[in-house]
Amino acid sequence: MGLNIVLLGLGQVGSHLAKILSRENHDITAIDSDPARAREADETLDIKALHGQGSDPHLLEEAGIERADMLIAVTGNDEVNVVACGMAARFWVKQKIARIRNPEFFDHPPRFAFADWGVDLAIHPELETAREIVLLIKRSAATDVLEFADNRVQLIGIRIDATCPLLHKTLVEVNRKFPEKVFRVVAILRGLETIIPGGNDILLNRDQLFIVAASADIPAIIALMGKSEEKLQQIMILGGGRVGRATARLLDQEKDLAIKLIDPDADRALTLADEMKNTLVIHGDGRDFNLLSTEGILETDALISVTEDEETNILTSLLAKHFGVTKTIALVNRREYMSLMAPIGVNAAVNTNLVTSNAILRLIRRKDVVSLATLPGLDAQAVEYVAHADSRITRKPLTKVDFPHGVIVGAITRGDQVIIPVGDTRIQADDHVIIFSLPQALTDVDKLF
Amino acid sequence: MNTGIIGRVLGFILLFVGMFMAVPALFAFHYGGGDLVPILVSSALTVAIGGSLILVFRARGELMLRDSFAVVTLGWLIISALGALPFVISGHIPSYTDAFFESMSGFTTTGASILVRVEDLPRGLLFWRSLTHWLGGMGIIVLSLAILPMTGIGGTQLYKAEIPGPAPDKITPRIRQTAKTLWKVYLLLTLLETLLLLIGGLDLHESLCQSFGSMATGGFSTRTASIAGFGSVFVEAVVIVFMFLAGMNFTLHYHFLKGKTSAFWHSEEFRFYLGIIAVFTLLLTADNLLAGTMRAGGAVRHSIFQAVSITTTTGFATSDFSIWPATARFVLLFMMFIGGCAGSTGGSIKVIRVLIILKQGLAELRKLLHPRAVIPVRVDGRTVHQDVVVNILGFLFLYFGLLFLSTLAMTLMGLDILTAFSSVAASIGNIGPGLGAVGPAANYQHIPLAGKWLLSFCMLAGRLEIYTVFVLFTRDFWE
Repeated sequence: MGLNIVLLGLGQVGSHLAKILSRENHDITAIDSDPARAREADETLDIKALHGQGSDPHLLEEAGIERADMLIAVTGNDEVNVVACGMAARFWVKQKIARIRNPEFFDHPPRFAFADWGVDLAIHPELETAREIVLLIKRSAATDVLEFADNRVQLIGIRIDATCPLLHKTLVEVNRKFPEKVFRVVAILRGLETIIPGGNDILLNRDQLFIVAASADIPAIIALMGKSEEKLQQIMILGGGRVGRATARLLDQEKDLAIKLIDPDADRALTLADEMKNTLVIHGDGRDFNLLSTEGILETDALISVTEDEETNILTSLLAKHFGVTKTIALVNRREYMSLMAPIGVNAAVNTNLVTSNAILRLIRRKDVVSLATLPGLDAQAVEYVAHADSRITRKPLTKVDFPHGVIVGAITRGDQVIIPVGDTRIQADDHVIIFSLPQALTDVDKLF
Repeated sequence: MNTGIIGRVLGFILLFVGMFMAVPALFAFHYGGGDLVPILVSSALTVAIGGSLILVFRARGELMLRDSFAVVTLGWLIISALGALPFVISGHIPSYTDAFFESMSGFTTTGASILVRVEDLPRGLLFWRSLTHWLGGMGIIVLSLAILPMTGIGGTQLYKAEIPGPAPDKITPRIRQTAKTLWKVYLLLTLLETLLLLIGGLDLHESLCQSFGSMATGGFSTRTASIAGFGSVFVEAVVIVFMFLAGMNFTLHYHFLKGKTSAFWHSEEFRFYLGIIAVFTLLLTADNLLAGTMRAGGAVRHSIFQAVSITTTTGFATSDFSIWPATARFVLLFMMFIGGCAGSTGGSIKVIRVLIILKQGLAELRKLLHPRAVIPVRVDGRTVHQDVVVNILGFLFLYFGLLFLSTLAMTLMGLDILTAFSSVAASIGNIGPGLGAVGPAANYQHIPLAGKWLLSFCMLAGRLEIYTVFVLFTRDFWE
């Protein structure tokens, strides 16, 4: 039976959630302050949409808050989100999720805990995105890094080129060649097509591979693919907005990095400079070529473009690539642009909206799902399940299990052990299983657990 | 356009209608009018066509906006075409044009008939004729959405294409659930009316048929003289009450059944609807009394019945209103352009549209005096968005455009002005009987062949509220 969900805000995140959740048979009543947006959603999506303020108690009642199982507050206003959670708490709504974007709220003293205002889960997409950027800086060769099972398993994206020694080899041959390094290629992005590969698929030039392996083995695997993990030391951040600030704060703690943060707003630059210890804050426009060359763009190892304007982010990343910057990371919140990033040469793209919707979807999907992630530009999802004694998947070895099309088991963690499964591996109770699946197969995968 | 999914959804709808087509066989079997085999053959044929469409088109995915318009319009056309089969195969309506007209008139809940003597039709066919009303009343697409396992095809778009008017609030967030609830309310009211008519002395067959006719605001009766044929004040009273209920927004019935008894009175549209019927009843009664052709009791009784029957676009009759005095006839003609409430089974322009445009007109008058004033049009205390007002103005233009052009075409076929105009008005408005030569005591048999096809088109355009049908004739749609 679907959940009764009240959704506040139909922006990029809200409308994406509305679309996905209504397809998964949840009852959604949405509220948005823009009448045209509310009406369009009401007419085109299988939801009921009302127009008004999310923190309006009458409107919440009209939206059926007293019957709701969950409140998702993703309006553009933190205070509205928190207040709405507080009101929902008065109606005994079980789960109340709020998106909180202002960094002032990130590290609050314990006496101001969000839980006191009825927020069960506060999502800080900018902070999560900053963490993702830091991971990408550490894994310089990767286009994507996702962590599973307490960071003992990682999923990385690598774009292979003509220097890769494994070109035109089938995956079976690749694995046979390196028996001591166990890993699994769970997806290949070729052009705009997502392939869930079998053993006979071959690797081609310009493929983007998604590989699951024990975190400790990742550097060796990157080397196998003909890539080297360089230590990125000279780092330039464009834009001191929410994401830029959060990223700089995280990187600021690493002593061996040289970080420059460029922001066009004089007041904001000053505030940022106050906050940072090691980071050099520069007041200027990140699109200004003279400024970039004065500040040493030619010696820079990584450029992180996280201004509020995503077109600027994409273009400056391309420019930096032109100047020989090793790694470029761009903040791109428009879903449609994500799949273009790798083909045009931006090394990695991060998306604060995706972070938010992933966190919410993880909570809504059943308890067996520990984590869930959609990769930018890839039409597939990575899900970490916990197997139970009565799960169907534990009854037979993997070759005998009837998997739906477009599903691949990436890795299993059993206690401290990380297992990359083969055909006769049998999943046991309490194993964490990391599965990679095309979205349409996901409901069938759910039934296996 | 996504032909694969369109074909598949149409297949499901046909399968569904085909199965309903077998139901009249029970009555055909019981009464033995020789219509059992034709009914079963037609049903089997429809099921077979639907089934093979489903087998041929295995595409999955979501219907896009333009696919939905195609599905709804084509769906209604095809079910009307196949719904004519029992009449043709049995030989009771030998002309396919006539049978198609009857079938389209049934599904669109118009109730215009080409039958000279209704009683000549065997009971099974009569039941099918009334059942088409019932299926079309709440909307065949809405019914399919409620019952068929058509998940993930974008039901909201289909729903909007079949019910394009200013929609009342959704009862539930999910369209499937809303559709199911509406059908449950519809079913409940139909059963209630059937029960009351049984108590009134009608047999099961006739009770069901009259209930279908009134709950769907259709108008097909099992008697040539319509409801007058039963000669019972009780039956007339029951039919009046249920026509009135059918012309209301079904969301209000739902809230009422849920215990919110104040729901009716809170709805401005409902108050306006009640007011219109009251005023027109008074006008009809007064004019009939002044003309001196009826006694007081009869004038009140017939006036109420006709006011409710025409406003709700049902088209049942207890009196031949085509020979009423001039003012009364004009009042009836006027009422043909109002129709039921939004979310009812009634047709025509709909009360909500009339109400909004009336308010907009008054607001324009105030704006003349206060040129810079911001005067929102409000219904139920909520501002109606300007887009909705403009949408209604466009609707009205197309509605009357179709009305005038079709009337022109009808006069070209040699009909007199009154007959031509009222037959078109009664078809677009899904009412049924008009005035002049298509009055309640007459029928549509004498209309020329081309005229029958034109009126059938008008019924379809009126039922799908103009836009959904007309959009198929735009160049943009096919590009």
